[in-house]
Amino acid sequence: MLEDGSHKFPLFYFFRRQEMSLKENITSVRTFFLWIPRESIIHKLHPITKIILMLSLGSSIFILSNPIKIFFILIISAILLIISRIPIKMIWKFILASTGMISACVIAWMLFSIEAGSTIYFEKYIEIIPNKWIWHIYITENTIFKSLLIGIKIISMILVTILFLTTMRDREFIYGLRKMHIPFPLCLATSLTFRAMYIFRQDYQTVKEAMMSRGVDFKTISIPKKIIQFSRLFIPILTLLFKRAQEMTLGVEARGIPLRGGKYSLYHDIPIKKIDYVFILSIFLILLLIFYLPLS
Amino acid sequence: MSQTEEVFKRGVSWMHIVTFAIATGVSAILAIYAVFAVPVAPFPGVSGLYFAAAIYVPLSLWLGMWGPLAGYFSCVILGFATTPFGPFSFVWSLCDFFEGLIPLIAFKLFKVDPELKMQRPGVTWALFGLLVLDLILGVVSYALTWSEVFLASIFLSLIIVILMGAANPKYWKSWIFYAIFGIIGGAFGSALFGIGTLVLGGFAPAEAFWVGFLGWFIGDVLVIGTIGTILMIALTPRIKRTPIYVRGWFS
Repeated sequence: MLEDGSHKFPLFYFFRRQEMSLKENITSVRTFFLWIPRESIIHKLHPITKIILMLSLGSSIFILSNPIKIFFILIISAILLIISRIPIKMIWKFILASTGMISACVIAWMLFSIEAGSTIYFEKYIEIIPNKWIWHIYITENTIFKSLLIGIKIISMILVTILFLTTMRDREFIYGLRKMHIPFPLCLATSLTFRAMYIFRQDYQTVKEAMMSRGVDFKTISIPKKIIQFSRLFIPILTLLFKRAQEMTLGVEARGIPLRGGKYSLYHDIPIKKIDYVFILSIFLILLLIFYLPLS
Repeated sequence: MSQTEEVFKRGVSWMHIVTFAIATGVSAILAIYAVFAVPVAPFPGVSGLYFAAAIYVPLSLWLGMWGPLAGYFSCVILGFATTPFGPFSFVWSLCDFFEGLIPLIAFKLFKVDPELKMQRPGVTWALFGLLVLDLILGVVSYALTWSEVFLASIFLSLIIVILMGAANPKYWKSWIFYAIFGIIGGAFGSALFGIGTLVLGGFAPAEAFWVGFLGWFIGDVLVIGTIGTILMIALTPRIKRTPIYVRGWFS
């Protein structure tokens, strides 16, 4: 149980725990991502390299349909994760949650999809509503193949996501966007979006606790009443957020930041090193090799 | 004698960008929370009670095009944070863009005032509850190929919408447009595109389309019809008095 009430919010509870466990040995860095500081090559890469890495690996998983080729990408992602020296105990909850999702997807594919095949392992008709809704479970070798293919795709994508979220901070991500010549207002909006998530969490807890102190019970009430209470909760939260939006706008305008045509410079500059070029080039070469591998 | 009206042409300002960013952050958190709290198997990233949808429609009617854009980017964050979609999130997230875009286009093209005022609150709420139940019945009957029930529910929903307008004769246009395009149109377009792209992208079997569509549509109708409507009634007059309110498409 945490003082700020984040244990009631599963994802934030996870992030908060991460933050707390990190506090023991390093200075806690506020980030929406799952950033875990480590002295690894991956951590030292330029933000642009990390973004390219994630996009190229993620797109390949989505485009490819050969399980062996996807398996190669899974191995590359796993190797990169090992190189990044991320301790499993720090991300095990994320992995545990992902395992549940992978199993649900694979089982659902087996139970819902109908793939013709030479060997039928299981077939059953379940009449949910007589003559109207008949559930046909039909498992062949192709059903199992397709389910496992989806499973491998999801595992690979999760590894890429973990790699990206644990080796990058939101600040780095925004820096990467700036360096990629994404318009400044869009970069500022991205930065404010991440900040708004924290503000919302705090406001949500404050308003909810204020309502609870006035006798509102969110736990034991029925679903219709819960929906009404949530509506009442959202009204002050949205009012507060719009007020904050006006204040933030005044802040931006007071600094004289022009919306159009402004020339912006960066206070910190991270140079793109040789290792970044080596990484980008090797990933592209490996992916090209995987794409053109003569596998049926 | 000719009457002249002085109109100030307002462009996009920091106010719009900042409000859009904050709306995106809030929507993203609500979306992530909803997916964790009420998931719909076998569809990753789908929630049976998608709280974020409740604010997409009001945001679109208050912030213009910034509302659907906030919906889109919050869904991209959801896609990267909780689903295995990766870059596919950029395509899939268009579902939440359409959820806000459909009512926005309808309201802007026909110049309808988004302020929902009630002349007979009791009757209007009762009709709202009836409409939500009727829509759920309609979708379920369509999925089960009960043609007679489906046609009856469509006919009934039309009568309910007309009655809602009749219950609030001064604001009939706002109520009818909100019911048709805000609740039904938004939820329908979003569910159709969202589940359709998941099936086409190979993330879910085509045979399970109806399970996902029903879960998505019913969940969205419930939250937009209840939380969304309350937000529209309570906050629209206040938002209209602030510079946050967008009168055109972008400014």
